[in-house]
Amino acid sequence: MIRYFLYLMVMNMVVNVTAFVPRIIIDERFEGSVMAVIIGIPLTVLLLYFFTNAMLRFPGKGLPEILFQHTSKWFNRPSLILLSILFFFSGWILLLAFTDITRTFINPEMTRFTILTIFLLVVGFGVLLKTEKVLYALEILTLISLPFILVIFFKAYTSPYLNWDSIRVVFTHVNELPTLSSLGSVTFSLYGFYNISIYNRVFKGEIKKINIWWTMAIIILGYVNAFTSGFIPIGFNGTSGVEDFIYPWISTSDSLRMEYGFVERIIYITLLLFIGASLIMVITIWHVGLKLLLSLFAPSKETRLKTRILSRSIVTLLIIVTYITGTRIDARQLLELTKLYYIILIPISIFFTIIVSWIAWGKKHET
Amino acid sequence: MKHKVLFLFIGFFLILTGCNGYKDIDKRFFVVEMGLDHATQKDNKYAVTLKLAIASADTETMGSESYIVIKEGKTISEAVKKLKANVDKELDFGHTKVIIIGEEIAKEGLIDVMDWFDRRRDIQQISYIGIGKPNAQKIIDVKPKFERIPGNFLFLIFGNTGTESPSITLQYLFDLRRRLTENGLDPIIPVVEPSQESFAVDHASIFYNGKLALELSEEETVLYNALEREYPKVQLQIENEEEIFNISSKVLNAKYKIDTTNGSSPSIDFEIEIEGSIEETTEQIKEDNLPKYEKLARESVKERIEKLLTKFQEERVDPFGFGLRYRATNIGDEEEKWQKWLSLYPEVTFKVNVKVKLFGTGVIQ
Repeated sequence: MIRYFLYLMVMNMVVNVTAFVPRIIIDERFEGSVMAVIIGIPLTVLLLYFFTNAMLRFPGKGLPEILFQHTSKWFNRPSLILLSILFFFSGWILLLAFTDITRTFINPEMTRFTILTIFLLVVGFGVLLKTEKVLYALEILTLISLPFILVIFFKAYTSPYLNWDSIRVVFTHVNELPTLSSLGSVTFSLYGFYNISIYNRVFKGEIKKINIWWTMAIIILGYVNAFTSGFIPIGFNGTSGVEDFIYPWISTSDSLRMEYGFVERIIYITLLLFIGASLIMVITIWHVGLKLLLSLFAPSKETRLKTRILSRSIVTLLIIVTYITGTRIDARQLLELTKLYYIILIPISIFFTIIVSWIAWGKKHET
Repeated sequence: MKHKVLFLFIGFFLILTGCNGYKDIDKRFFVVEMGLDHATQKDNKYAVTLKLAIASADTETMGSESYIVIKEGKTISEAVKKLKANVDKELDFGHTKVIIIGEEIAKEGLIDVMDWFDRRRDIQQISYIGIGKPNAQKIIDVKPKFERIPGNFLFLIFGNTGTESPSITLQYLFDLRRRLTENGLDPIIPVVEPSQESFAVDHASIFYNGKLALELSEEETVLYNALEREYPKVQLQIENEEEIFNISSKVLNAKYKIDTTNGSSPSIDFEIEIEGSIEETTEQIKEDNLPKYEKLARESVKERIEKLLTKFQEERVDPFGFGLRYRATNIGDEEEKWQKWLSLYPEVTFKVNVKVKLFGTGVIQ
């Protein structure tokens, strides 16, 4: 079962390679993003270690159950609403980023409305799936897309046009203090483990503990991922040329050439894979948000019909909100909003990690 | 469940029929080569030449049919806009794999020109750039008799899938963009010339500050490519008073280090390893004489490389990226480092260390 946990982690990392994380790292490449990568990843993995292991102490229980059981009403209700909004917002950013990517790179004549319709149709049905089924869908898409994505990364690393000197130029600025937004974006790429707040319900205690070896492996994975997302585009486009790109990784993948592949331009394979990956990630994230919100209304299972109607209306509301906001916001505003969101997430994630670890610690000492 | 499936299908049909932007292949012209020149008319700036491949369902009859259109405009996009009114099908730039820039434009500077190519999403970042001499239009006009698909000659030449020659320099669009914007790494673009109803792509030009600064000879281009790309198939011709002999060689290793430890006189130390065999001689070569020829080759190669590097230094161009390496190995503010390097580069001395290993004389002695 630990593989499902890894899918959550890895897909979140991979999807963020193309969305806004590299952009923010690259924007601040001379102002401390190197340091942000170096310190950000171990710190996030520290959060991962405490949060996940605390959650795993409650086999078969999601975050709502834990909070309802161990905290008082005035705390758990607002915090669950806040968390679900944050999860919805993560998915929303991803969805809009990929709508913009599709419009820019696949067909500029298509309206945002049409692209959003296609995406939301898939996502809307996906979110309403059962929790286990979301994980199965995630597994299928991970197994399909991850090998190809790794091939693209491998092509990038082995390309003779990857200029390591450019990357080294950026690394000479290692001693700059990191800014909050770069730190936020680095940590965000590792936030896949927070999805366990709901998916722990179906893990049913089959994962006992994330031990120190897994933690080390995730740290290494995080470093490789952050390096790939932030610094490979610099190696391909130069230290000053890279800053003009709105989606650096998509543009970088156009710099790769497969002489004997069935498609010479890798960019189209990249788009296909990453759009698939991002859609499944939006489904996974929104599903968490939906279940967190639902837990407020129907803690018992007696009112199934009511739950169904409720969850459908929440998803409909979400879709409407996405339509309204998605057709109005532009790429620049979205980036600024994302930066702000990543910064806000840092204290919130630390706070909830402490709360959950504290509850778990209390439980351990009771028995 | 049935309802869901039905709903999905209806949704997809609505989307597929409702959106424009997709045109059938027989309503498209595929632009395979694009040329850029100075306008002849006074109030225009650019002349855009496009080679259009005529698509056909049957590959047998398709042959090498192509069609060339030219228009002028103040900007590239204006010229392209005018061109759209001159053809009956949609222009598709997704297969534009060769971009030829006229020599005149190259001399004036590339930075403004390249913007259109980088901004368009459908232009491949892996398209090949060449300098057209005497101008781009002449190059686009050439149609080699043995070309089976329009533009295929240049695709094969640059793509390294057909002929492989160390005198062909390869410059991708993304690489050109990087080299134009990066401090300490200058663009080097192959020069394409028409010759006998075909092309010759045997030398390259180096740019400084986005402007054409130095045109290399064929021999210098080969040497540059051998060093920069560690090219596997290089012919080296070694001459002295008595004899000429050719080595078919392979550059195993070409590394350099910038040594700035002794302050005022920095040096760049090149380490080059070549192995090869003798391909042609005017004198008979005995196998036990090989060390002598190795020595001759070593001295000759060393001299040539030093000459080439000094030439670069005199013209202040830097296609190898010494400046970038300097920036990568020193700590400090980027602008300060760059200014320091600009003052250091003319002072640099080159120390070239060549190792040549000959392992045979071919089939005969």
